[in-house]
Parts: sequence; structure tokens; C-alpha cells
Amino acid sequence: MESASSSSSLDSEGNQHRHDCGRVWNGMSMDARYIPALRRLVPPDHRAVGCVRCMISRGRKRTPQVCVLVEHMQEHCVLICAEEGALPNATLKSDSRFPINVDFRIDIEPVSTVGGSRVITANLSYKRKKLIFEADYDDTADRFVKEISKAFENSKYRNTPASDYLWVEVYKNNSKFFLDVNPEDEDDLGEENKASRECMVKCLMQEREDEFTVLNEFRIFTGTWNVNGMAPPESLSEWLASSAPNEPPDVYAIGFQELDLSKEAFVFADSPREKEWLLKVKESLHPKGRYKEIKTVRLIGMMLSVFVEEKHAPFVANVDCNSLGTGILGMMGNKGGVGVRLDLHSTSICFVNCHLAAHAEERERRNQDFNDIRNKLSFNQMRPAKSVSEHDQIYWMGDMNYRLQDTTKQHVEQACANNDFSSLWERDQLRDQQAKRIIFIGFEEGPLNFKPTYKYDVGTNQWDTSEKARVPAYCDRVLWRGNNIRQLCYKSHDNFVISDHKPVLAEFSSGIRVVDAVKRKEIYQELMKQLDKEENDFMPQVTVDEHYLNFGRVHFYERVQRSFKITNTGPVIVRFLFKEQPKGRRYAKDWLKADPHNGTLKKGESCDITLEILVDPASASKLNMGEEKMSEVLVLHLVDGKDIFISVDMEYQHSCFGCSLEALVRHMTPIGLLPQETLIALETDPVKNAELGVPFETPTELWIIMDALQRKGLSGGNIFGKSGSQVEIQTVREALDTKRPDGQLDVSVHAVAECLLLFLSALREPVIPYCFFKKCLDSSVTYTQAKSVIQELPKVHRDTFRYLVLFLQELLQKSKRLEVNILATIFSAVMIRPPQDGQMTPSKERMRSVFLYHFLVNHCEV
Amino acid sequence: MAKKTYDLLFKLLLIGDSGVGKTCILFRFSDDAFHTTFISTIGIDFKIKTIELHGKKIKLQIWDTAGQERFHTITTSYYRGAMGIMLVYDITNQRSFENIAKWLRYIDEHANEDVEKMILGNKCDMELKRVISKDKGEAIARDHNISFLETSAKANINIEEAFTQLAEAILQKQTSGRAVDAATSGGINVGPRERPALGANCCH
Ligand SMILES: Nc1nc2c(ncn2[C@@H]2O[C@H](COP(=O)(O)OP(=O)(O)O)[C@@H](O)[C@H]2O)c(=O)[nH]1
Ligand SMILES: [Mg+2]
Repeated sequence: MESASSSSSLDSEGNQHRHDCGRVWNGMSMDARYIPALRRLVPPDHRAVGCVRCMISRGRKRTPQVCVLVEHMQEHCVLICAEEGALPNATLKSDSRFPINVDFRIDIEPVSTVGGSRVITANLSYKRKKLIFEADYDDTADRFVKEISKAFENSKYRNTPASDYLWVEVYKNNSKFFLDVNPEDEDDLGEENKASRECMVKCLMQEREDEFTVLNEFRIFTGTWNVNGMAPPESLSEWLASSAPNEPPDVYAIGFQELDLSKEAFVFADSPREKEWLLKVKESLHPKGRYKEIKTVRLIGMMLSVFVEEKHAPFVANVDCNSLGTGILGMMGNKGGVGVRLDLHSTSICFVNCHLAAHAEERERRNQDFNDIRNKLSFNQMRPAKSVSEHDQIYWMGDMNYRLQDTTKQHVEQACANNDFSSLWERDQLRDQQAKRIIFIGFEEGPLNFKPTYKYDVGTNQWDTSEKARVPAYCDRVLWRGNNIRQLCYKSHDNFVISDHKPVLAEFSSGIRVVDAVKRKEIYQELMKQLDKEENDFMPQVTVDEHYLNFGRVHFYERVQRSFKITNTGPVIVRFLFKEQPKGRRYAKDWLKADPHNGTLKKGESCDITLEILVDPASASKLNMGEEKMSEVLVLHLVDGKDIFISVDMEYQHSCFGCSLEALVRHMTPIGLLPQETLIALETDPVKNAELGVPFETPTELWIIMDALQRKGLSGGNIFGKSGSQVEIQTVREALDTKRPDGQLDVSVHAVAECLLLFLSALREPVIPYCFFKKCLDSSVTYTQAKSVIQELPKVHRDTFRYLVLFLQELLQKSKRLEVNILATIFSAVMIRPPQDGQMTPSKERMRSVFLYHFLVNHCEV
Repeated sequence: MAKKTYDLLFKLLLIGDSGVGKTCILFRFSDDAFHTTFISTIGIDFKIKTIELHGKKIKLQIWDTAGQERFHTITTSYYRGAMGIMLVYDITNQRSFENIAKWLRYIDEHANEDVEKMILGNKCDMELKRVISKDKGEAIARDHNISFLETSAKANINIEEAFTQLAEAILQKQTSGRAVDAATSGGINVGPRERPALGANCCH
């Protein structure tokens, strides 16, 4: 991998960054399968930091995408890409870009389990554009999201001016910049492309949070004291209950350092001092408030306790704590930090109490300690784990150990005597380092209008009188970060003399987001209503200009077309198709066809759909007999939407095509001139309803066709080589059905030949009746066997068979261009047809052809 | 990965003669509006609406069918998927009331056996033109052990109640169904559950 040659350096915050000479970092947040695609996507001066496959929801759309984090000159940008082609050769095209700057937000949600798999969800926004990222939860996805989060955190602390992010323009070439995509342009709304409603509701509720939350002022009391391993004094009230007598704090967060300097405290988790001090703290809280201990966390000498007034306890949730040692080997815990986090109503709060490296010259170590705590202290019971910075409000207290530099004890004493504290501030290391944006970036601190709190002679209010005569310092501090926080007071208490430090307190009036449950429910219901409405409004809609198409009279093998127009009148793209009929039937009866039978319509687009009726040999008999209705209701289905019924009517003119041999040989009148009932009667019982006492041997219609063929001459090449025109075929059919012509048919020989085939294949019962089909194939081996089958046929079938065979033999003699096996194949297909449920196979086709072949090449003896 | 905002999805079907007001009822329920000029439905349309019952979010998907006899073979093929069916007649139209028997037969032949049914006598705002008394409506519902309401899509009477009642009945059946399953697996047989009271609500 290219990262092998990477070098490391420290950035301004002491974070390690890799500067790869390559462009793709095959790190822990990278789905390695995309590395080839990323090499093509990312230019040489950019670096792909992470990449995962995910689902992205924007508005109502939800699509599978690939999310990429790219970096250029320490600026980051999230690219949402479409994946084209299959891995590993897939190509990534960026649809949208989310620059990680002041306008960017990321909110990572607890990992949820959906259908057995764990999903990590994050809400990303850039200005007013929002999207929801969901990925299967694994190490890569987790790290990827963290990486974005980190990039965002770092972006806040950049000391270079805000960039215009021109460098992301290179990703813009292949599609519109998401930031100006007009939602109108977004179509294709397949089921899975719709953002899940859950996501939308969450998003929309977030957007309206202001409407159902109010900022309530809470008094938050923070205190910090390095107690030098001493037992607690008589009372801590002067320190902890120093707020106005009628205004008990709502929340207390009290931090101690060097609570226990005993060897045991290093070795055992238990400390008797903890109990002593905790008890004393509880006794000394504001007398007007009743408090509940929410959490106490201790790491050797560092302890942090959080209390809330009992009335607020029901609104405290997701309490978690952790500690981080930065002492020797990062383990000993004589230095480091402890933290407690909680959600108070809808505001997330993190308290940190720390004890940083001592000694004036150890400034760098303190910086390091601070940044370690900031970056590494995390609340792991939260899913996903939350870092300190992922909180709305952070209160950070402790013995920070930063000193006053470039000054003397005398000067400090002088300044304090004159109440000229501000002259000390500029010498304060913490302020200096913060101004240089090395530590406490984004944090605020109130004016230090009190004397330095270190180092006193124990038991006195005198600064260090020992030989060392240390310069006094503001070691003990409270800083905060977050919105709606106002510091009410920040001071120290001189009257506590047990330690070489004085206790410090900082009290705040903080805006906590409180949900108005009634209002929230109202808005939620309103939202549901709105979403229902949208879902209904965004259903595909079309109009059709005809719901009913009447084809009038239709003849056998006559192609008739009608069309109607379908117009997309709705707000979304429409996919339509003709739905299968109940019971798995084709979308329409066999004689009806729709073209196109499915399609897609953009908004406002229309399309003509042509319905075509063609009664072919397969349907002719059923329609002749009235066994099949001459109407149909087509179901035009809109995908994800309604069904529209299109009714079709026709009136089929019964015909000699589709009759049985038995019926045809028993009547004189052309079939088309018979009333349909007469035909049905004739077909139902040919003998009883016969028109002729002595039937013809073969149907007159067949004789007319053969006669016409003979007259037109059989010698002119392959008479089956071309098909006749529609008009010609209708002429022949009309003649057969109504006139019984004995003269020339005024059509081509090909049309007559085609009619012969149509006639045979439309026969209600084929020349070889269905019940002989199997026997026929079984007997195709020898001519003798084949002959015996023919002997068994009913007379009219046998006669017709012989008549056809004689005709075919004559045809073969006259037309040198016709090959016997071709003729056998053509005619066996119409004369020897499988029963309705019978399947044809190539071998069956060969057998039936062979069956007929015997008769064509032998002297006909049947 | 898709998550849902509702706990349950109920499919309901509106059937009855053409012109009794099925489309208007659906429109009243989903959009809280009424238009006199609806083109008669030639097909199957649906709308959704999310309601809350006993703290559960229930998404109703309501299918509106064409009432014309010509389409009955096709429309009855939609019965199978329905968990609840609203059978609508028009209190000002004798025929639509007589046809209830026919519609009930269709339900018997084509719908799931345990489908929840409800009869609605619609257009109860048109007291002057009424030809079917409320007693008659209640009687036929009672005969078939089906719940009954008179409604008006126009005056917005009992529309919301009708859907809530039907959804409630389905919900109860589902929960008691689960109870039965649990019970029978333990070897105990549980008799059929009693139906909700008939025609409890009325309209004026
Ligand atoms: N007076 C009154 N008219 C109604 C009511 N519901 C529907 N209508 C009218 O009845 C006619 C048919 O309604 P429609 O909903 O299309 O009936 P559908 O064929 O069953 O869907 C329309 O003209 C409606 O305006 C109602 O509750 N009261
Ligand atoms: Mg309708």
C-alpha cells in the first residue's frame, strides 16, 4: 500500500497526522475494495482518508451509495458517490459534497439493531442540506464515522482563515453540485429509494426542535479543590452553599484532586477518604435544595461527583463516566482526568475534572495531558461511544497546574494587594497556551477576579514561605464550552486552610433544552399527517383518455388496432405495466395484445398504448363456440400506486376457420351465413344437427382451397415460401365463409397456401385427433405402424388425411423446389397437434414429421 | 435497513355499489375534504393514513374499488389481501341496500375467512331522501353479526369512527389471536371471541 511510505508529524494540537505521498490511505476507516476506484477518483494532491458503502437518505429518497472522506491541506470533505460497475472494477462518481467547515454538522446516533443486523446512523448536514448516513455497523464504518467527527472537531480549531473549499470543485465534473440540486429534478422513486419514514420523521422533528423545546435556565454549580490528601474540615458550606440563600443550584459538579495521597489509594480501588469527603459534600450542599447523587467517579486522588436537585432527576438520562490516567505510563492515575456525562432534558452535558502535570517548567506535559484527556476520555456505555467534545455543554475543572510566568512573588503579592488581578492574567500560562490555540480551544473562562489559589502554607492564608518561595499561581480553574451558558460567579475561598490550594467555584446560569411533551406530540402528529399527505400526494397518478375500447366486429385472423393515451399527471415518475389477470393468467386473453405492455413516463409525459386484436387459429374455435367471452378487462398497474381498468369489447364473426371436420362435412350453407346458435348446435352434435343427410367426404372449404391452388399452379417453386397479405387472407376467408366461389380466387398462390395451413391449424380437432397424438408419435418408426394408426381414425379424419397426402404427393411431383422433409415438417405441425396440456419437444416434433414423411414417400395405401 | 414509523400495517378495502360514496368516504378520511364531483372509480386506488390506537402507530392502507358489476371478477381478486372490509350502501338508494347480500357473498367467496367486516349506510346527511331506515341497516348487520354505522362523507359524520372501529377490531383479533396461539400450544382450546357491540354509535 502507498501508506507504507508515510511519514508522521504532529499538528498544532499534538495530534498525529500522516502525510502520505500516495493518495489513498488504507487505514482502518477504509473499505479496501474501493482502493482502485479511489485512485481514479482522487487527484494526487488530495488524500482519501476513509470510504464505506452505505445507504444515504435525502428527503424521501434512500439510495445505496459510497461515502468517501477526502482531505486536502488539512481540510476535509465528505463525498457522496454513486458506484458504477461491479467491484473490484467499480468507478465512483461523486453526486454531492459536504465540506467539513463551520456550516457542517455531524450527529452520530446510538447503534441500532434492525432485522438482526447492527446499523450505525449519522445525520450529516451542510447549511440547510441534510442527509442521513446508515451503514452496517463494523469497525470500518465505526472508524469512518469517527474520522468524520474528528475532522469536524479539528475544523473548529483551525487557525487559518475559512477556506472557500475550491479544491472540492474537481469532484463536481460528473454531476450537479448537491448544494444546488433542485429537488424537482430528482425523480426515480422506487420503493427502496424512498427514505425511510423513520429517518424523515427524525430529521423533520430535529428541524422543528425549537418549536417544542424551550431553553430553561438551570443553575449549575461547579467547584474544584486540591485538598492535599487531608481529611475534610468541619463544613464545606461556605464553599458549596455560597449561592444566594433562596437560589439553590439545580446541578452540582464537584471535583477534588489529591483526595487521597495514601499508598493504599494507588493500590486499592477503595478509599476511606472518598466516603468522608462525599459525606461532607452532601452535608454542605445548598440547604434549600434536596439533591440526588447522579454519579461519583474517582481515579486515585481525582474525584468528581455530580448531584442534581431531586425534582430534575427524572429528566436525567444516559449517565456515564470514565477516567483517563496520564501519569507514569499513563496508568498510575496520579495525573489525568475523570468525567461524567449526562443528558439533562434534551441537552447533553459533560463534566471533566482533571489534575495535570505539576511544576512550572512542565508546561508542555500539561498541554499533552490536556489533549490526551480531550481526545481519549470517552463514554463507552454510550452506543456509539461519545467523546468529551460530542456534548452540547462541557464544564472542565481541575488543578491544571499552569503557573504565572515571567513574574515574581513580590509582584504577585503587590498586584493582589491592589486588586489588580488583570495584570497577572497575561502572565498566566493557561491563558497564553489557550490564546496560542494549543489547549482549551473553543472554551471560555470568566475573569480571574480572585487571588491565585496556590501555593499556601497549610493552615494559613500565606503564600509559600518555604525556601522554594514559589510564585503563586492560578492552578485551580473552571472553563466551559457550549451555547447559552452565562457565568454567574467565579471565585475562590480563602477560609479553607487545610490544603496548600484554595477551593474554587464557578456558578453558571445555563440554558437547558426542555421538551414540551404536549407540544412535541402535537408537532409529531402534525408531522405524521403531513407525511401521510405527502405519501398520498406523491403516489403515481395518470389519466387515460379511454377506459373503454370497442373493436366492433372482428374476423378470423384480422388484425384490428385501437389505441388510448396514458398521461402522467402526478408529481412523480410513473412505471406502468399490464398486470396479470387473476389466477396467474396472462394480462389479457390470447387474442389481445398491448403495445407497449409496460413503460415509464416522466412527469407530464404521455404515451399511446395500442391494443391489438388478432384471433389466430388457437383462439378461433373457442370464440366460434362462445366458449370464451369476447370481452376483457385489462389492469393497467402503476408501480407503487393504483390500478386502472381498461375494458375491451369486440364482436367476433364466427368462421369456418375453427370448426371441426365433423361439422364442416355436414352442411351446405357457408358457415359465416349460419346464425351462431346453429353453428354451436352443429358442433355440439354434428350428426343430429346435420344439414346434409349424406355428408361430404371432406369439407367443401378444403376442396375450394385445394382447387384454387391447383388452378394457380403448383409448379411455381415453394408455394409456402412467402406469406400472403392481410387483405388477401381476408379475401379468402370472406369467400370461404360467405360465397363458396368455384372460380378463381383473386389472390396470390401464397395467400391460398397460407390459408390452407391456417385452416388446418384452426380445426377444432386436428386432422389427427388429439386422442391419437401419442399413438401417432409412438408409431412413427415404420410406415406399417403409421398406416395402422390412420386405419383407426374416424372416417372424416381418415378421408381428410388421405386427401391431404395425395395433394402433398402431387405437390412434390410438380414442384421440384419443395423438399419432402420440409413439407412433412410444415404439415405435420398443423395436422398432428398435441392436446391442450401437451408439451412439444424437438424430439416429438421430429417424430410427428417422420410419421407424415412415411406417407409422402410411399404409395399411399390408406 | 429500512425502519418503519408504524408498528402495524392494516389493509382495508371499501366495497359496495357504484355511487354509494366509497371514494368520498376515503377522501374524507385521508384528506378531510369533500368534493361533489368525483369521477367514478374505474380501477383500484388507495390512500394511506396513520392512526394511533392504544399507543400503537397503525398505518392504514385503504383500497377503494370500482363498484361496477362488469369489474367484479377483477375487484374480488383484491379481497384476499384485505384484513378489513367496509361494505357501503347509500341510505337514499334501495338497490344499493339490496345488493348488500351480493357483496357479502363476494366477501365469503373471495376474502380471508377471518376478515373483519363493517357495514356503512352512507349519505345519512340526506334525511329527506332516506329510503332505508337505520333500523333496517342495523338489522341486516345484526343478522350477519357485523358492526354497523351510518355515515356521511359530506357532513363528516362517523367517518373517523368507522375506520377506528374497524382497525380496533382487527387489532383485537390480532392480539387475541396471538393469545389463542399461545393457549392452544399449551393444549387448551379457546372458544370464538365475542364481537364488538353492534351499531353502538349513531348519527343524526
Ligand atoms: N349527500 C351526500 N352525497 C354523497 C356522500 N358521499 C358521496 N356523495 C355523493 O355521491 C356521489 C358518488 O360518490 P362516490 O364517492 O364517487 O361513490 P363511489 O362510486 O362509491 O366511489 C358523488 O356525487 C358524491 O358527491 C354523502 O355522504 N352525502
Ligand atoms: Mg368510487
